[in-house]
Amino acid sequence: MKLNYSNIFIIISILSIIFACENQDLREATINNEYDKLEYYSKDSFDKRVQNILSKYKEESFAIIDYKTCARCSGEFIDNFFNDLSIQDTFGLLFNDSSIFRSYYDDSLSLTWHFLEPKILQENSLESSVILKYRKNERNQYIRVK
Amino acid sequence: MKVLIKTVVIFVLLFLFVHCNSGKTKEPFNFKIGNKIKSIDVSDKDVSLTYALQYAGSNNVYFTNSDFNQVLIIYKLNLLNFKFEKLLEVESDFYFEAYFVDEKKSLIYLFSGEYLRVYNFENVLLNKKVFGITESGYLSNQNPIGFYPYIDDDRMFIEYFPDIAHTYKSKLFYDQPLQAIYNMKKNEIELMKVSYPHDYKNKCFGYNFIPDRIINNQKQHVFTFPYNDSVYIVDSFGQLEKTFYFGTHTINDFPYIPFDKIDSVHREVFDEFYKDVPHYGFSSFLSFSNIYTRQLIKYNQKENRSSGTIIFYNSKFEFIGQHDCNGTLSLFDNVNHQIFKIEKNNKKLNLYEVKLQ
Repeated sequence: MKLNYSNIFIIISILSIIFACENQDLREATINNEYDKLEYYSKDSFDKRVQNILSKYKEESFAIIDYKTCARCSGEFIDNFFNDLSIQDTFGLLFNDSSIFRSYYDDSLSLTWHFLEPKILQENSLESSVILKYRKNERNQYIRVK
Repeated sequence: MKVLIKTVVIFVLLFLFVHCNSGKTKEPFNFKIGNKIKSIDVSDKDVSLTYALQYAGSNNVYFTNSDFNQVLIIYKLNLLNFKFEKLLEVESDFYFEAYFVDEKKSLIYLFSGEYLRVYNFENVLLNKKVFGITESGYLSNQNPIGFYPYIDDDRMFIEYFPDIAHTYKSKLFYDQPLQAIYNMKKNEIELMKVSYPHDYKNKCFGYNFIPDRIINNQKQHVFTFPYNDSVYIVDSFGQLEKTFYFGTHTINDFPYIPFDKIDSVHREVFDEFYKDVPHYGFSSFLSFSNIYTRQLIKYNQKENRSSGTIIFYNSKFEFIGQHDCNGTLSLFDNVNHQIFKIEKNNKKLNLYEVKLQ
């Protein structure tokens, strides 16, 4: 068999396929795709979902404690939050686990305590490892407070 | 004749193509958890597997207690005679981060973020010094914990956490060294050259960025990362020696969050990302059996639990096999090449022998 272009092409093809066969399972993960939930977690979209929940209550400011997710990262978040409160603080406190009420309820504080069904944050993908704080602006929209 | 040769070649190509797509013939791999070979009663003790560790070349596994509010306890389990004993019990009036047991010198180092305490095996505090904060970052196991400190003679190898605003949300973070060498004799700190893989510098994977580091029998530092299919072998001076494929035989796809989009999303996207995207963790080295393992963890949102795949590699970092399991596995071995799965159940520490074939 002469070594012309056609034959070289065939040999290279065979070698390529053999090489691909040997390595087909051993390749780096593809990292080409952006996470598909970015839009869902855009600030507008997230705040809208929070707004839908908060609009059922009448307070002007809120803190939402997703106990399970907060505690997973650091229970100290919650301790520090309550330690820093003063009797002048007035807002609605939404909590989804009764441990919060049992551990931190203090009748000297002017908070309004609301129990939130655990599934509500989950269904709306609002689970958060930090305490969510929102207050109403002049346009009656709840905006997130950092 | 020419036509015949070409026909044969086409058939060969077709055969190879079909063979290729039908899956590579793999050597059979059998992972079996055998009978329980030892059960240790720990009903009167608070023992946790969270901080369990075994050093290369040692037959001992170390454990801590789980509730550090009052005391910190370190236990030792010998995998040859199965003697389980308390090595240290001290008042935990500090925030416990990590520990190191120096078996040669019979010392225990406790890391608390602000101080380094050194005890002997008789509970005597030999030294307490301010430790952990440098001009540019922290020498400690800040949460989330990546890998444990390791001491070799006077050199302490410890996780380095740069003091950079926005940490994992900043590109700068991933350009920084991730391990420091503290020379205990000279009281000098040197940052190792090793940093995060290329992909981490361009693509954000959220707060589960943490590297794993194993120290093998050759005292090489073996680095792995949650969203990366490679292993990076570095010498004890920080020089990258080799990298190998260290993934699964299942093709992974790690999505990412572009750095330039982080400001437009709420931080909760990282919580969701952490749950959604499978990632590696719990890299370990069975030093007597010369087997490396790592685990691919997947979170099932519907069932609200994690499942995992444990992957095995030989001393040349070649894939041996993988095994699906519920949750994660804690494996250890002894000089007789016995591999053990250890779990705590009903106030007992149970040891099962694991067979790999």
